Amino acid sequence: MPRSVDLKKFDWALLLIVCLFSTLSFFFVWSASSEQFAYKQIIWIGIGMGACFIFLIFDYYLIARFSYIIYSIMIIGLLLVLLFGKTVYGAQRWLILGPLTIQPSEFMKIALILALSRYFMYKDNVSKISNIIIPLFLTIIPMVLIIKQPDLGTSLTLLPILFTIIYIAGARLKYIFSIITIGIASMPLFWFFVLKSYQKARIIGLFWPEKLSELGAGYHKIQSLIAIGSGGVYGSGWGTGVQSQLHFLPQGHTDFIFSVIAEEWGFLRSCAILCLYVLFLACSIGIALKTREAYGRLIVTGFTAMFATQIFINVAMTIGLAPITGLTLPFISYGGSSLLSSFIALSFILNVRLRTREVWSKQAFHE
Amino acid sequence: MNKKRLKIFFGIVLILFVVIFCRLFYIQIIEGGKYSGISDSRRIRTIGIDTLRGTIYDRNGLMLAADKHSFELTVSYKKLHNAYLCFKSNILPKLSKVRNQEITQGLCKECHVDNTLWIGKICKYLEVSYADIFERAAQIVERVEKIKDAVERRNKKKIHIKEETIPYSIATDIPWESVARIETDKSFQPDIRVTTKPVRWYSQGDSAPHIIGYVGKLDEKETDSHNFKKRWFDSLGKDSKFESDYFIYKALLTDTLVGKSGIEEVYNSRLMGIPGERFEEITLDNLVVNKIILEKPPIPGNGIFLTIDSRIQRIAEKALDGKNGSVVLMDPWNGEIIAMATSPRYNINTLSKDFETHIKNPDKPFLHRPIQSTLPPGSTFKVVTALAALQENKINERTHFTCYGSIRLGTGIFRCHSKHGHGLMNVEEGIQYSCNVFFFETAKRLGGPLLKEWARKFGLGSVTGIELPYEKKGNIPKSRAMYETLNLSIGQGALLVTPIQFARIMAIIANGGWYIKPHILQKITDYKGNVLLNNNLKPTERIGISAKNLDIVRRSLRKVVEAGTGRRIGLKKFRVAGKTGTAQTVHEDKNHAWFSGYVPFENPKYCFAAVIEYTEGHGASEAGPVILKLLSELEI
Ligand SMILES: [Zn+2]
Repeated sequence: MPRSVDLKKFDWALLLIVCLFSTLSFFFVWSASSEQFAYKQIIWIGIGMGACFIFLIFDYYLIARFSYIIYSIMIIGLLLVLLFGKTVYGAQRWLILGPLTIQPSEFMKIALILALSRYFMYKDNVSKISNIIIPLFLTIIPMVLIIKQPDLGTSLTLLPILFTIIYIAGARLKYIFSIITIGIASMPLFWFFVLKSYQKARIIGLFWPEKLSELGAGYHKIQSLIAIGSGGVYGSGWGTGVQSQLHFLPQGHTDFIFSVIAEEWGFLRSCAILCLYVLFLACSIGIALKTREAYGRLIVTGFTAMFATQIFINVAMTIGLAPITGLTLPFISYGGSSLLSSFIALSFILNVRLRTREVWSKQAFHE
Repeated sequence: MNKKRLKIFFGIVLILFVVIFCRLFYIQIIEGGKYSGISDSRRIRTIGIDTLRGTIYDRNGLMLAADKHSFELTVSYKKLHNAYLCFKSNILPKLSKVRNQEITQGLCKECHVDNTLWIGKICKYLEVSYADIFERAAQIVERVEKIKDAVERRNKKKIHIKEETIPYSIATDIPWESVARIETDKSFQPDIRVTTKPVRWYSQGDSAPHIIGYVGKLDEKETDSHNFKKRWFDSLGKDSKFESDYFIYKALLTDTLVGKSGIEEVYNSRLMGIPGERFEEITLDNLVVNKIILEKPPIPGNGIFLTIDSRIQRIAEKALDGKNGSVVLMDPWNGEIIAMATSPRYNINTLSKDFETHIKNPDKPFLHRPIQSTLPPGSTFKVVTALAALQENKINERTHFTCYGSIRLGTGIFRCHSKHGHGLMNVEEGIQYSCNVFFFETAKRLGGPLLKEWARKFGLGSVTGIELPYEKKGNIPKSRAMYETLNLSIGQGALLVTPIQFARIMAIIANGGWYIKPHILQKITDYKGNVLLNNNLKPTERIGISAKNLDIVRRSLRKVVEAGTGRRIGLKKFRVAGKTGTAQTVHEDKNHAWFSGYVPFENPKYCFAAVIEYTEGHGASEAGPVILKLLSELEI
C-alpha cells in the first residue's frame, strides 16, 4: 500500500548542504591529488545522486520488509571479500564485480541500520534484556568479519550505530551501560586474539607516537599535524599547501582530505565546513523528530549516528585525537564505495521526511 | 521512544564537535606558529638524515666505490650573520647600514672582536684565505636573508625562519690535522663544529673508471624532469614503495649525489638508499632540542657486486697503456665480463679537477671504447662469413678456391694482402692465412642477404644489453651491391662493430653455439650483506650451427695462432685460438688492429677481443701482444 508523497516536504536544506560538500570534494580532491581524480570523483558523485533519487521512488517501508534479506546479502558479501577480496594497502576490503571494485563493509553499515531498526520497529517497550541480545549479535557478526579484513576503523563505527539505535528504541540505560562494561572487559581478548600487529601499533601510536618511529603510524600523524598546524587562521590558499602539494601527506585525497582542507583553507573556513556538518546532522535529527513512525525514526537516527561517527573519527584522526584508521570523510573524501553508501544513507533520510505525515495533535505537541 | 532521547543524542554529538573545534583551535591558532615556522618561541623542525650510498665491489669483494667519511666545518647562522654584517659595513660603509649598526653598537664591537678571532683562526687552521671564507658566508647569508625578507613581508611581522636555526657548512674535506686543531679549540664551541659527511671514494680510482662511473648533483632541470607526482600515482596501492619514493625525491631536492655514469648511474636507485627524517621540537632562543617527536632511521643503499676481477682489469689496462684501444675478457659460458679495459682513461677521484683537460684531449678519454667504439672488424669478421657459408651449405671443408692475389668484379679489383696469391685454399687455410680471395669467392656463393642475416644472428647491429649506459649498436650495411658484399665478407666497408660484440661472437664459437648475454652485475646485496639478487644468467638459446661446422672454424682459429697470421705473437704456449684482423681506415696509413679469440682451446675459460685503434701496425703486431701481456700475467 504505497503512501502518498508530499513533495513540499522535500528537505531542500539537506540536499543543498550535500551539494556544497560535493563541490568542496571536487576542488580538494583536485588539490590533494590530480585533476583526473577530481573528475572521477564528479562521476561518482553523479552516480551517488542518481542512486539517491532512484531510492526515493520507493517507500522506505517497502525496504523495511527486505531488511533482514539485505542484511544477509551483505554478510555474504563480507564473507566473499574475505575469501576472494582484492588486497590493497595490505587489507582485503574490495570485491571486484566486473568493472567495479566495491567495498561491502561500506554498505554493511546501511544493512545493519536497516536490520536493527526492523528489529525494534514493533517493540514499543524494550525493557527485557533478551531484547538486546539479538541486536548485539546482529552487530558483532559483521564487526568480526570486518576486523578480519582487517579494517578496525569501519568495524568500530558499527558500535555507535548499535548504541544509538538501542538508546533511541528506548532500552533502559542500565542495559546499555552493562553492554559497555562487558565490552571494555573483553577488550584484552580483542587485543590478544583479534587485532593484527599493525592495528595494535596504531593504537599505541595514538598515545605514544615516539615509540613507533619505524612503523610509520606516528609518521602519518605528525605529517597531518604539521599540515593542519601550518594552515593557521586563513590557510595557504587552495592548491598551495606545502604539505599536501608535495605529498608529504599520504592518502591526502582519501582519508586525510581534512588535513588538506585545514592547511589550505585555514581555521575559519575548516570550522565553517565542520559547522555545515553539524547543520547536516541537525537537519536529519529534525527529520527523526518530525516522523511518527518508529521504523522511520530509527533508521534516520541510525544514519545520523553513522555520519556523526564517521565525521568525528575522521577529523579526530587528522588532528591527532584518534588512531589512524581507514575511515573517510562523508561526501568529501575520494572513493566510490564510501560516496555511494553516503548517498544511499542520505536517500533514506530524505525518504523518511518525504513520507512523514505530521499530526499536530495536542499530545504530540506536548510530548 | 521519546524525543528527549533524540535531543540528548544530538547533545552528545554537539559535545564531540566542540572537542574538535577546541583541538583545531589549539593546533591552528595557539600552536600554529610552531608548525608553520613563524613562531617566536618554539618550532617543529624537520631534519633529513643522510644515508650512506651503497658500495660497489669487484667479483672477489674488493671495494671499488664506497662512501668515506670526510670532515666539514659547520658554523651557526648567527655567527655567519654577525660576521657578514661587520665585514659588509667595513667594506661597504653604506649610510643606512651604519645607522643600523649604531643602535647595536655594543653588540657590534663584541662581534667584531669575535669574528676577527674565529675567522682568523679558521683561516690559519685550514690554510685558506680570508676572502674565501667571507665569500662563502656572504653567499649563505644573502640567500637566507632573501627568504626571510619574503616570509616577513608575507606575514607582516618580524619572525625567525627555519633557515636561521640550522648550521651551515663553510669548508669541506678538511684534513685530519686541521680537524684535531679545531676540535681542541674551546673558543669555537658550540657554534663552530666539525661534522662528518660521507663523500664518494674510489679505492681503484684509475682502474675501470668508465665501468664504475661517477656521481654528481642533479641540476635543476633534471630535478624537474623527475616527475614525482605522476610516479606517486603510478605506485598507488603500494604503500611502502610510495614512501621510499617520497624520501628519494626529498633527497634529490637536497643535493644528494646521484650516479652520473657507469654502474653508479645504472644502479643508482639501488645504490642511493633511503634517507631518514627526524621531527624535533626546538626552542628558538638557544636552538636546543626540547624533544624528538619522531625519527625515521635511514636505510643505506644496496651493495653491488661486479663480475670484474680488479687484478685482471689492472693487468688488461697496463697492457693497453699508451695506446688507444680496448680489451674485453669474458667468460664464454655465462657471459660474465672479467675485465673490460679502455685506453686512455681518467682517474675518478680527481675527475672534477681534470675534467677540462680530458674533454679537450683528442684521444677522447671519456669514450668507453669496449662498448662505444664502433669500428670495422677487418679480417676477424671472416669467421662469421665462414660459419655462415658452411652452415648454409654453400661451402664445406673440402671446397677449394684458388687465390691469384686478386679478383675482378666489374671494373673493380679486389685484392688479397698476398700480392702473388695464396694458391689453392680450403676454408681452414683461408682463415689460417686470412686469404681475402677465398672469402670473396665464398661471399659470391653465399650472397649479401644471407651474410647479413648471419651477422645479425651473431648479434651485430644490435646492443649486447650489458648493464652500462650508452652502448653503441654498430652497423650492418644495407647496400645490396655485390662489391659491398665482397667488402663485407672480409669485414671492410660500412660494417661497424664494438669490441664487446666481437668478444660475444668468440664466446658463441667457444661454447658450442650458445647465446650468452654479456653482463657485469654479479649480485646485489642489502647493506647487511644479505643477497637480494643473484645474477646467474644461464644461456638458453643456441645459434643453430652444427657442431661439425663449429669444429672446422675452431680448428682454423687454433692454426691461426700456431702456424698462421698470428704465429709470431707467441701465444702458442698459452693454447690460444684466435683471429687477427687489420681494418683499413680512411686515413692512409692508419688501421684498426684486432685480435680476438678464446683460451685455452680445448676447454675455453676466457674469450677475448682486443683492438688498437688508428695504429700503423697490424692485428698480429699490435693487438696480439696486448693479449700476450694479459695472458702471461693471468696464470691460466
Ligand atoms: Zn689470398
